[in-house]
Amino acid sequence: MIRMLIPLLVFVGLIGLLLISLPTAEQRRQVASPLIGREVPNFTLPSLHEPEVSYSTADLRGQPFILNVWGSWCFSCRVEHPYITRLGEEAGIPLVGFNWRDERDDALTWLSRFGDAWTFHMVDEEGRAAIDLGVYGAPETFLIDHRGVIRHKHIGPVDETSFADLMRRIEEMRQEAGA
Amino acid sequence: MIKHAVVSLSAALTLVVTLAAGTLSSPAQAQADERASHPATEEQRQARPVQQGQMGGMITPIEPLPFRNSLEERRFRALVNELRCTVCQNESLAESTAPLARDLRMEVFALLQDDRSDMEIRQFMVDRYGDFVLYRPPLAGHTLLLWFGPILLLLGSLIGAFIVVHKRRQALK
Amino acid sequence: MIAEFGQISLILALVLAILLGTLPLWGAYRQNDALMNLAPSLVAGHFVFTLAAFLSLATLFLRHDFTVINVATNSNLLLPWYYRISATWGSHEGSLLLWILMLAGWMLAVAVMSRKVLPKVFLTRVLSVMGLISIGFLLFTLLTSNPFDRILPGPIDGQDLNPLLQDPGMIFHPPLLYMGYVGFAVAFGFAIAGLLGGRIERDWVRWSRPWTLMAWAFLTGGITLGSWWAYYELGWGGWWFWDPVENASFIPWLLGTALIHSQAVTEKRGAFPAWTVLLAIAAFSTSLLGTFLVRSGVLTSVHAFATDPERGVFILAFMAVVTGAALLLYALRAPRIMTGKGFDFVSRESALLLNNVFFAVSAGMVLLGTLYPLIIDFMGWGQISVGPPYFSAMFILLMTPIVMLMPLGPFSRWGQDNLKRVMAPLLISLVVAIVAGLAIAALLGAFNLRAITGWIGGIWLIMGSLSYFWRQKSQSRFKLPRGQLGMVMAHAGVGVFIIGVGMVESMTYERDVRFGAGDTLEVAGYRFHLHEVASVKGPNWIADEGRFTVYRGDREIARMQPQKRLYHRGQQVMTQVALRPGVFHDLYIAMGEPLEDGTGDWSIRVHIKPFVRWIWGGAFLLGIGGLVAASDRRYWRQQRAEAEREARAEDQGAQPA
Repeated sequence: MIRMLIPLLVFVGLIGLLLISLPTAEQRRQVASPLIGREVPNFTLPSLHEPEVSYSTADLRGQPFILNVWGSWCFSCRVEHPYITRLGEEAGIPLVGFNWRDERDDALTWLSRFGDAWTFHMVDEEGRAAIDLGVYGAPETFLIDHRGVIRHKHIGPVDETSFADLMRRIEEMRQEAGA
Repeated sequence: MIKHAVVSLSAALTLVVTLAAGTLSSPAQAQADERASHPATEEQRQARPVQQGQMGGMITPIEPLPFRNSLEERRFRALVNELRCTVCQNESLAESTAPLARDLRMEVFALLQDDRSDMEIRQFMVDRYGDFVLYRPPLAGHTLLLWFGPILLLLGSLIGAFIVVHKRRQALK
Repeated sequence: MIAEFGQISLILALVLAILLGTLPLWGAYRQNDALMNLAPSLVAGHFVFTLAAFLSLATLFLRHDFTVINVATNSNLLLPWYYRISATWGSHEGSLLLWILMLAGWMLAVAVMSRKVLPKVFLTRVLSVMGLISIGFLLFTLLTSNPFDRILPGPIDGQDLNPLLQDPGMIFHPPLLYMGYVGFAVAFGFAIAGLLGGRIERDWVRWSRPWTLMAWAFLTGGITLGSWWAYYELGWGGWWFWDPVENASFIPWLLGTALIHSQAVTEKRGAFPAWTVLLAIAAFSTSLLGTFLVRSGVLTSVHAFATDPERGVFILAFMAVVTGAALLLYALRAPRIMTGKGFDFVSRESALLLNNVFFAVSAGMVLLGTLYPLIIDFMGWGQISVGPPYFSAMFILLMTPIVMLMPLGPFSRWGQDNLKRVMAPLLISLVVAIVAGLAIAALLGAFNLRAITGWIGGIWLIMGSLSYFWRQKSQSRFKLPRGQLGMVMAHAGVGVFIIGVGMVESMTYERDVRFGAGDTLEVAGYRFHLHEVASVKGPNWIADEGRFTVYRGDREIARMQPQKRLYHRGQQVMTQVALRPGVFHDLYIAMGEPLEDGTGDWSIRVHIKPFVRWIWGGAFLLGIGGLVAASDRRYWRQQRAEAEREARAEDQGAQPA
């Protein structure tokens, strides 16, 4: 009798697995970054506003900061723009723009049209630094602590919920930096 | 009668081979042919990666790259076919037209030029994007069931089948 | 009006399916003739109304009725009529309707063709069970995926059918595939009817064999066509990608292959009845699982339909009910005592058992690999991808032994045999295969492991099958039964397939090259010359077209015009490859893009694919073999009176053993 029930039991397990996996299908589409908990890769990139000036991630060591990947070609970046602006105003730590695979003119026009709450922007035209950072789409938002460790990565546009979550994590990082 | 079959089939196969051999040369030879006479393989004329528009649809990424030799080209193909594109639905780097996939192909190409081994190149991708990018999952604790499950299942089934036949033999007597 | 007509037809079909799934089944239980007699007419009515619904949708597409959402999103004014017809099943909703139509068609075929063969009680149970399955799909369509939903006011013009689907291959691929998927519902119906009857009779298996063979043959054809389509349409030049959606069709195929072999044992010798029933349930259940995987979005796939988790929940619930009930019934009533005659280690039974072990384990492997990312995610172990390298390696590992043993199967006798006797007539084939395989590989310059294995294995299978054919023919004064002929064709087909795979996988020439007008590429004795890149215009697209002439020596052998198409609606880009098919190799050109350095040169991919047609040729032979075997007169000759007698005897002993 038990032996004849085996197929049914296997099947119940299968249905269970599928049932559990169905609501998490969207999450699985986001690839978790292996860089979280590791030091932010070091790269030096030119500034968007002043091409002759360049910034490097090493310069930012010692204080927590936000790194926001965006491009003027990216529709979702426009969607999250109000929240990014609020981050710039409320977070109290530098908000670094990472302008990815963009044309300088387009990027500047985009900023003047929608507003520029970022502390400054780095330009990654060729996308090499983005690969080191494990970027696979825009927008993405990284939180990096005062020791230079990537603490969190938000994939996709920031909304009300993720904004609150980001603010909470930023507060944590600020306290650590202060202590 | 079996002889008849053998003879006719052998004849047919001989015909196949004669015809096929006449129309096909080995790839080694093919490579050499092309290198020798095709002007487009001059390395200076190679294109830089083209920026994709934001268009949908199914197109194939086709990029002539200045490989140093055919071995490097084969390694490149093997690598980009085994690496999964992170932005796409379910495509390898070789199949995807996403701009990021293009960047990553160029990265693989650059690493090959830098004389990195296949293992190092795969590790390069894993360091940045995680195990997700490997279409051939690494053998580790959490993939033991994946790699050995089918083999265990096969052994178990074969033992089961053996027992069944052993029992059924009794019915013969 | 037509949409409403279709809608009402679908509802009426549902009503008839509900009646069919209940009344005759009750009648069969109570031995009530009047209720049982309802079944054939209900089946006919069910078919008529599903057909009416399907034709209504096709008419809406033909008449450009954009007030119907499905038409507005999958067609437009410029779409040619034949693609408007195939657009009927191009979307999720429409393809479900096709599923239901196929199911209704199979039910009608069973009702008509088995009327004289099957005992009434049994036939009634089969039809009722299939009616129950139809209820699920009709409800699914009506509640979550109605193809007749309106949008008022409708747009002036529709969006376009996905350009990938605007192709002759896509007209036939889904119908064939669904014929296969749904065809396993017949085997499932027979299995459940058998379980309900309480005993698995050898006759029951004989009746269900031709249906299983047909379903399996259609599935083989559908998968083959899909592979061929992907080859020329996706522009990658590959023929199998191990995508979850492909795997979803491959799992039922593997189980179906096991099933047609285990049915042979159960029919001829009465052995493994429970296993045969279980396989029949599994083959159909995995077809349902495939439907779930394709439409729920639980796995990411290149070819998935627009997915919707809500629909996923419905199919999952439906699958839980259908398969759960079937397996519960199996647990309660499957025969637990070894029946049938005994057999020895070397025997036809053992050979077929071995076949079943390997095919079932392969199906398990594909299922495990496909779902493993979900298991990993569930356990919180991160994210992994299981792709072609895993599946190919595992599949070759699991299939090589069974393929190598394949020719021995037909030569072995039922019950008891010895290896020497089995091998004796095959020795010549084996020697020829090894010698010829090595020689051919060497002659073709393909002296590598894959090609050599392909040639030796392929010739071994072809020779082995043919020598069986000749021996049977010479030993028997009568015509070779179709069942055996089909088997020989199918096994030889596998041989042809293996040769193709071995050659394509090891000897493909593939290169991305830069081409300007006037450039020439010389490769493998061919000269590809590009004259110009011209602009051309189709009914609903514009394209850049490369004009190639291919020479062999000085002789012009082909003109090839690959295109890069831009479809107006949705601005979709498509690669239209140019192909010159050949028995020994295909020439294949795909357009890349104009290079951004102002020269006007294009990136072009050139493939030379040796023996690639043999892959589909072999698979096609495999499917035809299935159809030939299904047409064996033995299956259709049974006298009804005799069958009725047996069924009465069966019902009297209806307690599970």
